Amino acid sequence: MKNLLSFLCSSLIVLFFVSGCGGSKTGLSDVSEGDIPDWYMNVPQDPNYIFAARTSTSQDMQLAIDKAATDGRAEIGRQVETKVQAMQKKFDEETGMGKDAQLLSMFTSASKTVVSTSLSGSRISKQKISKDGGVFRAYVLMEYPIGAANAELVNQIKKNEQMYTRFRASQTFDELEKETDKYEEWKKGQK
Amino acid sequence: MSAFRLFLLFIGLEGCATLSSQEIVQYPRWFLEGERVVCPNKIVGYTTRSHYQHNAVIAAKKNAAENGARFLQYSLAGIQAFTKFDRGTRAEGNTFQEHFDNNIIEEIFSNSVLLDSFFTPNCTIILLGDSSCTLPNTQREMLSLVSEPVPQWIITLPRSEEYFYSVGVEQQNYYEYSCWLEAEKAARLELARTISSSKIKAVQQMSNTTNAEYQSEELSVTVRNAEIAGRWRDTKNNIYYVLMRCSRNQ
Repeated sequence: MKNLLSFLCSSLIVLFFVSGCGGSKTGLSDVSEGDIPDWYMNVPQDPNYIFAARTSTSQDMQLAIDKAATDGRAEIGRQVETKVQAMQKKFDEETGMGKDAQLLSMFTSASKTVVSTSLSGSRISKQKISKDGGVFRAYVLMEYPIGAANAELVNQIKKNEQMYTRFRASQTFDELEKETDKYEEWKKGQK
Repeated sequence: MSAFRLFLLFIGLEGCATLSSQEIVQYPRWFLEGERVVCPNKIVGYTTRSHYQHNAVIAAKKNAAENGARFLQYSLAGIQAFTKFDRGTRAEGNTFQEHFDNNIIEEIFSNSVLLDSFFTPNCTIILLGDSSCTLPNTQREMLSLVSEPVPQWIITLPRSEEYFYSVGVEQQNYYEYSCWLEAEKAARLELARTISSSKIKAVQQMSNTTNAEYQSEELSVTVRNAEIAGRWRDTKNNIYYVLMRCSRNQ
Protein backbone atom coordinates (compact mmCIF):
# COMPACT_ATOMS: atom_id res chain seq x y z
CA MET A 1 0.00 0.00 0.00
CA LYS A 2 2.85 2.35 0.95
CA ASN A 3 4.64 1.50 -2.29
CA LEU A 4 1.53 2.22 -4.28
CA LEU A 5 1.15 5.60 -2.58
CA SER A 6 4.80 6.46 -3.30
CA PHE A 7 4.33 5.54 -6.93
CA LEU A 8 1.19 7.67 -7.19
CA CYS A 9 2.98 10.63 -5.56
CA SER A 10 5.90 10.29 -7.96
CA SER A 11 3.57 10.12 -10.92
CA LEU A 12 1.78 13.25 -9.71
CA ILE A 13 5.10 15.10 -9.41
CA VAL A 14 6.00 14.19 -12.98
CA LEU A 15 2.54 15.18 -14.19
CA PHE A 16 2.93 18.49 -12.40
CA PHE A 17 6.21 19.24 -14.18
CA VAL A 18 5.02 18.07 -17.56
CA SER A 19 1.81 20.07 -17.36
CA GLY A 20 3.76 23.06 -16.05
CA CYS A 21 5.80 22.94 -19.20
CA GLY A 22 2.73 22.78 -21.37
CA GLY A 23 3.73 26.04 -22.99
CA SER A 24 4.91 24.12 -26.03
CA LYS A 25 1.32 23.69 -27.12
CA THR A 26 0.98 25.52 -30.37
CA GLY A 27 -0.88 28.80 -30.19
CA LEU A 28 -1.79 28.83 -33.88
CA SER A 29 -5.09 30.42 -34.62
CA ASP A 30 -7.82 28.01 -35.57
CA VAL A 31 -9.38 28.13 -39.03
CA SER A 32 -12.77 28.48 -37.38
CA GLU A 33 -11.61 31.89 -36.15
CA GLY A 34 -11.82 33.21 -39.64
CA ASP A 35 -8.09 32.93 -40.17
CA ILE A 36 -8.42 32.08 -43.87
CA PRO A 37 -6.08 34.40 -45.77
CA ASP A 38 -7.59 36.93 -48.16
CA TRP A 39 -5.44 35.76 -51.04
CA TYR A 40 -6.94 32.28 -50.66
CA MET A 41 -10.51 33.59 -50.90
CA ASN A 42 -9.70 36.13 -53.61
CA VAL A 43 -6.93 34.71 -55.74
CA PRO A 44 -4.81 37.58 -57.17
CA GLN A 45 -5.12 38.43 -60.83
CA ASP A 46 -2.02 39.36 -62.78
CA PRO A 47 -1.55 39.07 -66.54
CA ASN A 48 2.05 38.03 -65.97
CA TYR A 49 1.28 35.12 -63.66
CA ILE A 50 -0.82 32.02 -63.31
CA PHE A 51 -1.94 31.55 -59.71
CA ALA A 52 -3.33 28.55 -57.88
CA ALA A 53 -4.47 28.77 -54.26
CA ARG A 54 -4.66 25.44 -52.46
CA THR A 55 -5.07 24.16 -48.93
CA SER A 56 -4.37 20.85 -47.25
CA THR A 57 -4.04 19.31 -43.80
CA SER A 58 -1.63 17.00 -42.07
CA GLN A 59 -0.36 16.23 -38.60
CA ASP A 60 3.05 17.19 -39.97
CA MET A 61 3.39 20.88 -40.79
CA GLN A 62 5.76 20.44 -43.74
CA LEU A 63 3.65 17.65 -45.24
CA ALA A 64 0.58 19.90 -45.11
CA ILE A 65 2.54 22.50 -47.14
CA ASP A 66 3.85 19.85 -49.57
CA LYS A 67 0.35 18.48 -50.20
CA ALA A 68 -1.07 21.90 -50.92
CA ALA A 69 1.93 22.94 -53.06
CA THR A 70 1.84 19.78 -55.21
CA ASP A 71 -1.89 20.26 -55.72
CA GLY A 72 -1.21 23.87 -56.70
CA ARG A 73 1.51 22.85 -59.17
CA ALA A 74 -0.84 20.27 -60.72
CA GLU A 75 -3.44 23.02 -61.15
CA ILE A 76 -0.87 25.33 -62.75
CA GLY A 77 0.14 22.50 -65.09
CA ARG A 78 -3.51 22.13 -66.14
CA GLN A 79 -3.87 25.88 -66.75
CA VAL A 80 -0.67 25.97 -68.85
CA GLU A 81 -1.88 22.98 -70.85
CA THR A 82 -5.19 24.72 -71.52
CA LYS A 83 -3.38 27.85 -72.70
CA VAL A 84 -1.11 25.87 -75.02
CA GLN A 85 -4.11 23.99 -76.43
CA ALA A 86 -5.86 27.30 -77.10
CA MET A 87 -2.72 28.50 -78.87
CA GLN A 88 -2.65 25.30 -80.94
CA LYS A 89 -6.26 25.93 -81.96
CA LYS A 90 -5.41 29.48 -83.05
CA PHE A 91 -2.45 28.27 -85.11
CA ASP A 92 -4.64 25.58 -86.62
CA GLU A 93 -7.33 28.10 -87.63
CA GLU A 94 -4.81 30.47 -89.13
CA THR A 95 -2.32 28.17 -90.81
CA GLY A 96 -4.34 25.02 -91.43
CA MET A 97 -1.90 23.12 -89.26
CA GLY A 98 -4.48 20.39 -88.58
CA LYS A 99 -4.40 19.28 -92.20
CA ASP A 100 -0.66 18.82 -92.13
CA ALA A 101 -0.10 15.73 -89.97
CA GLN A 102 3.66 16.24 -89.77
CA LEU A 103 3.37 19.87 -88.66
CA LEU A 104 0.65 18.99 -86.17
CA SER A 105 2.85 16.28 -84.71
CA MET A 106 5.80 18.69 -84.48
CA PHE A 107 3.70 21.34 -82.73
CA THR A 108 2.23 18.76 -80.34
CA SER A 109 5.73 17.62 -79.49
CA ALA A 110 6.82 21.23 -78.88
CA SER A 111 3.79 21.97 -76.73
CA LYS A 112 4.33 18.77 -74.72
CA THR A 113 7.86 19.94 -74.00
CA VAL A 114 6.42 23.23 -72.80
CA VAL A 115 3.97 21.51 -70.48
CA SER A 116 6.53 19.14 -69.00
CA THR A 117 9.16 21.83 -68.47
CA SER A 118 6.84 24.73 -67.86
CA LEU A 119 6.84 24.42 -64.10
CA SER A 120 10.41 25.56 -63.84
CA GLY A 121 10.02 28.75 -61.86
CA SER A 122 6.73 27.88 -60.21
CA ARG A 123 6.98 28.72 -56.55
CA ILE A 124 5.10 29.19 -53.33
CA SER A 125 4.38 32.88 -53.40
CA LYS A 126 2.48 33.06 -50.12
CA GLN A 127 1.85 30.57 -47.34
CA LYS A 128 0.00 30.49 -44.08
CA ILE A 129 -0.31 27.80 -41.44
CA SER A 130 -3.27 27.38 -39.11
CA LYS A 131 -4.55 24.73 -36.74
CA ASP A 132 -7.58 22.79 -37.92
CA GLY A 133 -8.70 20.66 -35.01
CA GLY A 134 -5.73 18.50 -34.14
CA VAL A 135 -3.92 18.95 -37.42
CA PHE A 136 -2.05 21.67 -39.29
CA ARG A 137 -3.75 23.34 -42.21
CA ALA A 138 -1.51 24.96 -44.80
CA TYR A 139 -2.73 27.54 -47.28
CA VAL A 140 -0.43 28.15 -50.22
CA LEU A 141 -0.57 30.45 -53.19
CA MET A 142 1.44 29.02 -56.07
CA GLU A 143 2.55 31.35 -58.83
CA TYR A 144 4.06 30.76 -62.21
CA PRO A 145 5.23 33.45 -64.66
CA ILE A 146 3.13 32.85 -67.78
CA GLY A 147 5.69 34.67 -69.94
CA ALA A 148 8.13 31.86 -69.22
CA ALA A 149 5.78 29.34 -70.87
CA ASN A 150 5.26 31.62 -73.88
CA ALA A 151 9.01 32.16 -74.22
CA GLU A 152 9.58 28.42 -74.02
CA LEU A 153 6.98 27.78 -76.75
CA VAL A 154 8.60 30.39 -79.02
CA ASN A 155 11.99 28.74 -78.40
CA GLN A 156 10.61 25.31 -79.23
CA ILE A 157 9.03 26.61 -82.45
CA LYS A 158 12.21 28.45 -83.44
CA LYS A 159 14.24 25.29 -82.92
CA ASN A 160 12.28 23.60 -85.70
CA GLU A 161 13.02 25.33 -88.99
CA GLN A 162 10.04 23.90 -90.89
CA MET A 163 7.62 24.85 -88.16
CA TYR A 164 9.19 28.28 -87.73
CA THR A 165 9.01 29.00 -91.48
CA ARG A 166 5.35 28.10 -91.47
CA PHE A 167 4.39 29.98 -88.34
CA ARG A 168 6.53 33.12 -88.35
CA ALA A 169 4.30 34.98 -90.80
CA SER A 170 1.17 34.15 -88.80
CA GLN A 171 -0.54 36.68 -86.58
CA THR A 172 -0.69 34.19 -83.70
CA PHE A 173 3.09 33.80 -83.73
CA ASP A 174 3.47 37.57 -83.92
CA GLU A 175 1.25 37.94 -80.85
CA LEU A 176 3.18 35.21 -79.06
CA GLU A 177 6.49 36.92 -79.80
CA LYS A 178 5.14 40.29 -78.67
CA GLU A 179 4.01 38.71 -75.39
CA THR A 180 7.43 37.14 -75.00
CA ASP A 181 9.11 40.52 -75.59
CA LYS A 182 6.77 42.04 -73.05
CA TYR A 183 7.78 39.32 -70.60
CA GLU A 184 11.49 39.99 -71.20
CA GLU A 185 10.87 43.73 -70.62
CA TRP A 186 8.91 42.96 -67.48
CA LYS A 187 11.73 40.71 -66.28
CA LYS A 188 14.20 43.56 -66.73
CA GLY A 189 11.87 45.80 -64.75
CA GLN A 190 11.91 43.34 -61.84
CA LYS A 191 15.66 43.84 -61.39
CA MET B 1 11.52 3.19 -4.46
CA SER B 2 12.96 6.60 -3.60
CA ALA B 3 15.55 6.12 -6.36
CA PHE B 4 12.72 5.48 -8.81
CA ARG B 5 10.98 8.60 -7.58
CA LEU B 6 14.16 10.62 -8.07
CA PHE B 7 14.45 9.21 -11.57
CA LEU B 8 10.90 10.28 -12.41
CA LEU B 9 11.60 13.71 -10.94
CA PHE B 10 14.74 14.00 -13.09
CA ILE B 11 12.75 13.11 -16.23
CA GLY B 12 10.17 15.76 -15.35
CA LEU B 13 12.83 18.41 -14.74
CA GLU B 14 14.76 17.52 -17.89
CA GLY B 15 11.62 17.80 -20.02
CA CYS B 16 10.82 21.11 -18.41
CA ALA B 17 14.31 22.49 -18.98
CA THR B 18 14.05 21.79 -22.68
CA LEU B 19 10.56 23.11 -23.13
CA SER B 20 11.30 26.29 -21.23
CA SER B 21 13.69 27.26 -24.03
CA GLN B 22 10.73 29.01 -25.64
CA GLU B 23 11.29 31.80 -23.14
CA ILE B 24 14.60 32.68 -24.80
CA VAL B 25 13.71 35.02 -27.59
CA GLN B 26 16.99 36.72 -28.44
CA TYR B 27 19.28 35.95 -31.31
CA PRO B 28 22.18 37.91 -32.82
CA ARG B 29 21.50 39.94 -35.94
CA TRP B 30 23.85 37.80 -38.05
CA PHE B 31 21.69 34.79 -37.26
CA LEU B 32 18.31 36.34 -38.07
CA GLU B 33 19.43 38.49 -41.00
CA GLY B 34 21.95 36.25 -42.73
CA GLU B 35 21.77 38.06 -46.06
CA ARG B 36 23.19 41.20 -44.46
CA VAL B 37 26.37 39.49 -43.38
CA VAL B 38 28.95 40.44 -46.00
CA CYS B 39 31.44 37.63 -45.68
CA PRO B 40 32.46 34.99 -48.18
CA ASN B 41 31.62 31.41 -47.24
CA LYS B 42 29.71 32.32 -44.10
CA ILE B 43 28.07 29.27 -42.58
CA VAL B 44 26.06 28.63 -39.45
CA GLY B 45 26.41 25.45 -37.44
CA TYR B 46 24.29 24.05 -34.62
CA THR B 47 24.53 21.48 -31.90
CA THR B 48 23.06 20.85 -28.49
CA ARG B 49 24.13 22.84 -25.43
CA SER B 50 26.83 21.22 -23.38
CA HIS B 51 28.41 21.88 -20.01
CA TYR B 52 31.69 21.85 -21.93
CA GLN B 53 31.24 24.87 -24.20
CA HIS B 54 34.50 24.28 -26.04
CA ASN B 55 33.35 20.79 -27.10
CA ALA B 56 29.95 22.15 -28.13
CA VAL B 57 31.59 24.81 -30.30
CA ILE B 58 33.77 22.19 -32.02
CA ALA B 59 30.71 20.01 -32.67
CA ALA B 60 28.83 23.04 -34.03
CA LYS B 61 31.84 23.89 -36.21
CA LYS B 62 31.74 20.36 -37.66
CA ASN B 63 28.04 20.80 -38.35
CA ALA B 64 28.75 24.16 -40.00
CA ALA B 65 31.38 22.58 -42.25
CA GLU B 66 28.86 19.92 -43.29
CA ASN B 67 26.23 22.60 -43.97
CA GLY B 68 28.82 24.54 -45.95
CA ALA B 69 29.55 21.54 -48.18
CA ARG B 70 25.82 21.01 -48.63
CA PHE B 71 25.09 24.62 -49.58
CA LEU B 72 28.01 24.79 -51.98
CA GLN B 73 26.35 22.17 -54.16
CA TYR B 74 23.63 19.64 -53.46
CA SER B 75 21.68 17.35 -55.73
CA LEU B 76 18.14 16.36 -55.05
CA ALA B 77 16.31 13.63 -56.90
CA GLY B 78 13.17 11.61 -56.32
CA ILE B 79 9.43 11.50 -56.54
CA GLN B 80 6.77 12.61 -54.10
CA ALA B 81 3.22 11.40 -54.59
CA PHE B 82 -0.20 12.10 -53.13
CA THR B 83 -3.71 10.85 -53.76
CA LYS B 84 -6.33 13.51 -53.44
CA PHE B 85 -9.81 12.39 -52.36
CA ASP B 86 -12.90 14.43 -51.64
CA ARG B 87 -12.28 14.04 -47.92
CA GLY B 88 -8.60 14.96 -48.02
CA THR B 89 -5.18 14.16 -49.43
CA ARG B 90 -3.21 11.04 -48.62
CA ALA B 91 0.56 11.13 -48.78
CA GLU B 92 1.90 8.16 -50.72
CA GLY B 93 5.46 8.87 -49.66
CA ASN B 94 8.54 10.27 -51.28
CA THR B 95 11.85 8.97 -52.53
CA PHE B 96 13.76 12.25 -52.34
CA GLN B 97 17.44 11.81 -51.79
CA GLU B 98 19.93 14.56 -51.23
CA HIS B 99 23.59 14.19 -52.15
CA PHE B 100 26.52 16.48 -51.60
CA ASP B 101 30.28 16.22 -51.74
CA ASN B 102 31.32 15.25 -48.23
CA ASN B 103 34.99 15.17 -49.22
CA ILE B 104 35.19 18.93 -48.82
CA ILE B 105 33.87 19.02 -45.24
CA GLU B 106 37.35 18.63 -43.79
CA GLU B 107 38.70 21.39 -46.03
CA ILE B 108 35.92 23.79 -45.02
CA PHE B 109 36.45 22.87 -41.37
CA SER B 110 40.15 23.66 -41.44
CA ASN B 111 39.96 26.76 -43.67
CA SER B 112 37.18 28.57 -41.80
CA VAL B 113 37.46 30.66 -38.69
CA LEU B 114 34.99 31.09 -35.87
CA LEU B 115 33.42 34.54 -36.18
CA ASP B 116 30.90 34.35 -33.35
CA SER B 117 28.98 31.93 -31.17
CA PHE B 118 26.05 32.09 -28.80
CA PHE B 119 24.09 29.74 -26.61
CA THR B 120 20.43 29.22 -25.91
CA PRO B 121 19.38 26.94 -23.04
CA ASN B 122 19.62 23.85 -25.21
CA CYS B 123 21.41 24.91 -28.37
CA THR B 124 24.86 26.06 -29.41
CA ILE B 125 24.97 28.18 -32.55
CA ILE B 126 28.13 29.39 -34.28
CA LEU B 127 29.08 31.43 -37.33
CA LEU B 128 32.03 30.42 -39.46
CA GLY B 129 33.58 32.41 -42.28
CA ASP B 130 36.71 33.08 -44.25
CA SER B 131 39.74 34.17 -42.28
CA SER B 132 39.56 37.51 -44.10
CA CYS B 133 36.13 38.23 -42.56
CA THR B 134 35.49 40.53 -39.67
CA LEU B 135 32.08 40.67 -38.08
CA PRO B 136 31.00 44.24 -37.25
CA ASN B 137 29.53 44.85 -33.83
CA THR B 138 26.19 45.77 -35.34
CA GLN B 139 25.92 42.18 -36.54
CA ARG B 140 26.58 40.87 -33.02
CA GLU B 141 23.70 42.89 -31.59
CA MET B 142 21.14 40.68 -29.88
CA LEU B 143 17.64 41.11 -31.29
CA SER B 144 14.54 40.27 -29.33
CA LEU B 145 11.96 38.29 -31.27
CA VAL B 146 9.28 39.97 -29.19
CA SER B 147 10.18 43.54 -30.12
CA GLU B 148 11.46 42.93 -33.66
CA PRO B 149 8.86 43.19 -36.42
CA VAL B 150 7.86 39.84 -37.90
CA PRO B 151 9.60 39.56 -41.27
CA GLN B 152 7.33 39.80 -44.27
CA TRP B 153 8.95 36.80 -45.94
CA ILE B 154 7.35 34.28 -43.58
CA ILE B 155 4.09 34.86 -45.48
CA THR B 156 5.14 36.44 -48.78
CA LEU B 157 8.25 35.20 -50.54
CA PRO B 158 10.52 37.95 -51.95
CA ARG B 159 10.49 38.41 -55.72
CA SER B 160 13.88 38.92 -57.25
CA GLU B 161 15.41 38.63 -60.68
CA GLU B 162 18.78 37.93 -59.09
CA TYR B 163 17.86 35.15 -56.69
CA PHE B 164 15.54 32.21 -56.30
CA TYR B 165 14.06 32.19 -52.80
CA SER B 166 12.39 29.52 -50.69
CA VAL B 167 11.07 29.21 -47.16
CA GLY B 168 11.35 26.12 -44.97
CA VAL B 169 9.33 25.61 -41.80
CA GLU B 170 9.50 23.24 -38.88
CA GLN B 171 7.31 22.89 -35.84
CA GLN B 172 9.01 22.87 -32.45
CA ASN B 173 10.32 19.55 -31.24
CA TYR B 174 12.55 18.47 -28.40
CA TYR B 175 15.81 19.92 -29.69
CA GLU B 176 16.09 23.46 -30.98
CA TYR B 177 19.08 22.68 -33.19
CA SER B 178 17.16 19.97 -35.01
CA CYS B 179 14.27 22.41 -35.60
CA TRP B 180 16.63 24.80 -37.39
CA LEU B 181 18.28 22.01 -39.36
CA GLU B 182 14.92 20.53 -40.41
CA ALA B 183 13.66 23.96 -41.48
CA GLU B 184 16.83 24.38 -43.56
CA LYS B 185 16.27 20.95 -45.12
CA ALA B 186 12.70 21.90 -46.04
CA ALA B 187 13.97 25.17 -47.56
CA ARG B 188 16.58 23.29 -49.63
CA LEU B 189 13.87 21.00 -51.00
CA GLU B 190 11.59 23.90 -51.86
CA LEU B 191 14.48 25.77 -53.51
CA ALA B 192 15.19 22.70 -55.64
CA ARG B 193 11.51 22.55 -56.61
CA THR B 194 11.56 26.21 -57.65
CA ILE B 195 14.68 25.87 -59.77
CA SER B 196 14.06 22.55 -61.42
CA SER B 197 11.64 21.68 -64.16
CA SER B 198 9.60 19.56 -61.81
CA LYS B 199 7.48 17.10 -63.71
CA ILE B 200 3.97 17.05 -62.39
CA LYS B 201 1.60 14.24 -63.23
CA ALA B 202 -2.03 14.40 -62.24
CA VAL B 203 -4.24 11.43 -63.08
CA GLN B 204 -7.92 11.67 -62.23
CA GLN B 205 -10.05 8.66 -61.47
CA MET B 206 -13.79 9.17 -61.27
CA SER B 207 -16.48 6.63 -60.56
CA ASN B 208 -19.94 6.65 -59.01
CA THR B 209 -18.50 6.13 -55.57
CA THR B 210 -15.03 7.65 -55.59
CA ASN B 211 -13.36 10.70 -56.96
CA ALA B 212 -9.61 10.58 -56.72
CA GLU B 213 -6.63 12.27 -58.27
CA TYR B 214 -3.15 10.83 -58.15
CA GLN B 215 -0.54 13.58 -58.14
CA SER B 216 3.16 13.02 -58.41
CA GLU B 217 6.07 15.36 -58.61
CA GLU B 218 9.42 14.26 -59.98
CA LEU B 219 12.58 16.21 -59.22
CA SER B 220 16.15 15.93 -60.34
CA VAL B 221 18.23 19.01 -59.82
CA THR B 222 21.57 20.31 -58.64
CA VAL B 223 21.61 23.53 -56.65
CA ARG B 224 24.79 25.56 -56.28
CA ASN B 225 25.80 28.28 -53.84
CA ALA B 226 22.67 28.31 -51.72
CA GLU B 227 22.70 30.47 -48.61
CA ILE B 228 20.45 31.28 -45.70
CA ALA B 229 19.06 34.77 -46.13
CA GLY B 230 17.03 34.93 -42.94
CA ARG B 231 15.70 33.07 -39.94
CA TRP B 232 12.71 33.63 -37.72
CA ARG B 233 11.23 31.84 -34.77
CA ASP B 234 7.54 32.33 -34.06
CA THR B 235 7.65 31.88 -30.30
CA LYS B 236 3.88 32.15 -29.94
CA ASN B 237 3.12 29.38 -32.39
CA ASN B 238 6.39 27.48 -31.98
CA ILE B 239 7.37 27.52 -35.63
CA TYR B 240 10.89 27.88 -37.00
CA TYR B 241 11.27 29.61 -40.37
CA VAL B 242 14.29 29.69 -42.66
CA LEU B 243 14.59 31.84 -45.79
CA MET B 244 17.01 30.40 -48.34
CA ARG B 245 18.23 31.75 -51.64
CA CYS B 246 20.56 31.00 -54.50
CA SER B 247 21.59 32.88 -57.60
CA ARG B 248 19.43 32.50 -60.71
CA ASN B 249 22.63 31.99 -62.69
CA GLN B 250 23.10 28.37 -61.74
